[in-house]
Amino acid sequence: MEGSSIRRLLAPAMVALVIASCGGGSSGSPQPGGGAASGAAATEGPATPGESGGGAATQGAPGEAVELTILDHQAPRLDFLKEVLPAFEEEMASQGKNITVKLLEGPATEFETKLTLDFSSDNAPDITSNGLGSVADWAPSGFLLDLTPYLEQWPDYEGHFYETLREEATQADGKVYSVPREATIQQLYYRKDVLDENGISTEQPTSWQDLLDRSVEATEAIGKPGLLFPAGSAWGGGTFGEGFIHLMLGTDDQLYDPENGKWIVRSPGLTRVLQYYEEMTTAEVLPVEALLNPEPWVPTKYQAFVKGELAITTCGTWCWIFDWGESAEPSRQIPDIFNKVATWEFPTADGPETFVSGSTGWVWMISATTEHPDEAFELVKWLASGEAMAKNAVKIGAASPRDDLADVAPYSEKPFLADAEQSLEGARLFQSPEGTDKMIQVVGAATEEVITGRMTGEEAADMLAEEATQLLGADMVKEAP
Amino acid sequence: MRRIQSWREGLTVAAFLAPALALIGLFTVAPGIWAVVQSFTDRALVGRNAANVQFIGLDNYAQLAGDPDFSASLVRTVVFVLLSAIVGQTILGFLTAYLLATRPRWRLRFSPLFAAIFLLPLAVPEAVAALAWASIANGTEQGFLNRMTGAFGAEPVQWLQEHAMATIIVVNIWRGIPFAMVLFSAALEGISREVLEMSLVDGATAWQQFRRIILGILRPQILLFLMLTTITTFGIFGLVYFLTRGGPGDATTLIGIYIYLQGFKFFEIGFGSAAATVMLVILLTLGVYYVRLMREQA
Repeated sequence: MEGSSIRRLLAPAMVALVIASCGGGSSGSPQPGGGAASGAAATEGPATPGESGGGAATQGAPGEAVELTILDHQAPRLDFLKEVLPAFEEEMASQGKNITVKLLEGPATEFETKLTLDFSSDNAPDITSNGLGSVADWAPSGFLLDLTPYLEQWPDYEGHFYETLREEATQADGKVYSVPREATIQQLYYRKDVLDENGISTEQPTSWQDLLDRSVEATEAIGKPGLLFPAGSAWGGGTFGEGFIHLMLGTDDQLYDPENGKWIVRSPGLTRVLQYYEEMTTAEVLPVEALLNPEPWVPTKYQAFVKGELAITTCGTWCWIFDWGESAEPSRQIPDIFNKVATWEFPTADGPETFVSGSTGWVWMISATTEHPDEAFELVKWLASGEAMAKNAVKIGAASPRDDLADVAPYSEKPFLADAEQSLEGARLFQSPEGTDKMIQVVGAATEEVITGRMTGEEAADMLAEEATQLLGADMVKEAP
Repeated sequence: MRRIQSWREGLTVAAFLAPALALIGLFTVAPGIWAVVQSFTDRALVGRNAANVQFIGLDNYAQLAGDPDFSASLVRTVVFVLLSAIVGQTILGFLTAYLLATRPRWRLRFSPLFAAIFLLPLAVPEAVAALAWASIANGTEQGFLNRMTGAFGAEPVQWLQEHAMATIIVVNIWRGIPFAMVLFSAALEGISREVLEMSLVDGATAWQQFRRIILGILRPQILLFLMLTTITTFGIFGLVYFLTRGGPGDATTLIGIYIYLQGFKFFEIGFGSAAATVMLVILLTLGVYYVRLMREQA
């Protein structure tokens, strides 16, 4: 009697446990691919738009309800999408298409980690957005839909997107897996008011030594480190993309050889870059303590530069709006910014040539496992055109990646963005190849060794070559002759 | 403990154990085995290896052995465990419980109130605790600690920059004291009042009573706490990651953070699994050692 009571009590609990165990995997984020499509879909791609993508995707019949999911993060980007997505739905409805879009908000930090985990578990949204650099690693992993056939049938892509950006978007396999969302022009931003007050020249520095001398003057005048080149591991990809690469582009050497697809992990230019970090550290112009902070951009760009306690920093067009302008928190805004802040181009190692770094910023990507590739591309196309792109550019503070937005409001109301766009064609750029994530890690570690005084620039160059070879594999690296 | 008498009784025992065993098997043992298997592969979440996982034998372990960052994180973790868990939490937790416990010739007034206050850190979620400490240890003049030291004329200190390791040790002690206190309080309550009274009648001083009787009786509970706190502190992640992200530099990159970075920042699942397996072996060894000590005490 006692035993049968226990069995009766336990039976529902066991059933519930089994159901919970089986059903657990299907909860949480949406699964557009339904697990049916494999990563191989990315390399096969849709034969032609409008047909079944990669043999796995299916499309809705005309009028059939389709819900797309789009994942993004960072408040201004989310605000932008909240504002424009209803207009897309209306436009689709006017064409007789029943497409709705569900906006998913990603975490403010660790977004790339979340997205990579989503992709690798076939749990990714239909559309997402991130820096172009991540495409080089996600495309060979089979996470992204090959957009080449779609782009071939979209006249705007070849007709209006800047050629340098289209080249940058083309991956090592000759295919394109992303559409530019914005373009960024990076330069040196300096506090004109602070330098003027202290009688320091605001002329364009034409060599690294020139920049260092100017920074020493600023440091002495302000009493705090005057120059910011992101360095160390804490800044993550920023150390590479917002600091190191601008120095590397100012040397005569390449970091990557596209001819044979190898990273050049030892070269005179690379050693010189690390030696320059050493010189900046020795001259005490770098805010080393702040660079070791878990969020190094806060005490430097968000606080010191805003207060005028940091005179010079690397930054991009986004800084005018996102970092210190109208999209920034009030405590980060620099009032009358265009009179207080100005830009220099990056100097080259020995001068006198100077340059700006121009590249694609964030891009739109479609998951290889999407069930609705045509509708997803329709949305990407819409977001990368006309008013939607103009609104995005203004919200983020980005230059337009296409040449026909100059007269489209609200982009037309921000002439400084259009000015930056003009310099895209002559800009220097580094096309992030596969393995960029690993090189970011190595550069972070090497620069950190230098700025903390644990290694000289030359020792850090040896370390970089050794660690990059270990992480990337001997077949993916070479040394400059 | 008696043996199972019949198949019916065996079935009942199995039915009671099954849910717990199923959960542990699904969410602890199976992932553990999976991680050990992955540690012999070059599995990565991105890049070429993502689609073409190869068995690479002991390569990951060889790479770990030659990785100075890994050995440095291990040393850091040992120091952290020793100072924050074994010394800090255990001693302070025990002292707190001892002061709050009622015993012959000792009764602390308002002890329930003090106990409630000491328990508060246990009630705060880990992320909230980390954020609270990030604010307390804020390096500006407005930071709580700096306000306190500033009252004595001291300059503001960047606690999480200049004294990062010391700060996270203090935070972990603060976080661990309540559990130690609860465990030791329960154990102290279990000591017979007569035993303590008799020791005083026999002329033992308070120190002699504490050292020879209380510590002697509580040795199994102390070992149990040491085992639990060593294991949980060795693998600590959230509290430290939220506070310092392993920095400045790698000053607070403990083994848990090192593993996270390998697996979920650099997406090297195989290599990260190898590091996790090494940690698992260390913890199993420590666990077995503590269990043997406890058996000897019993």
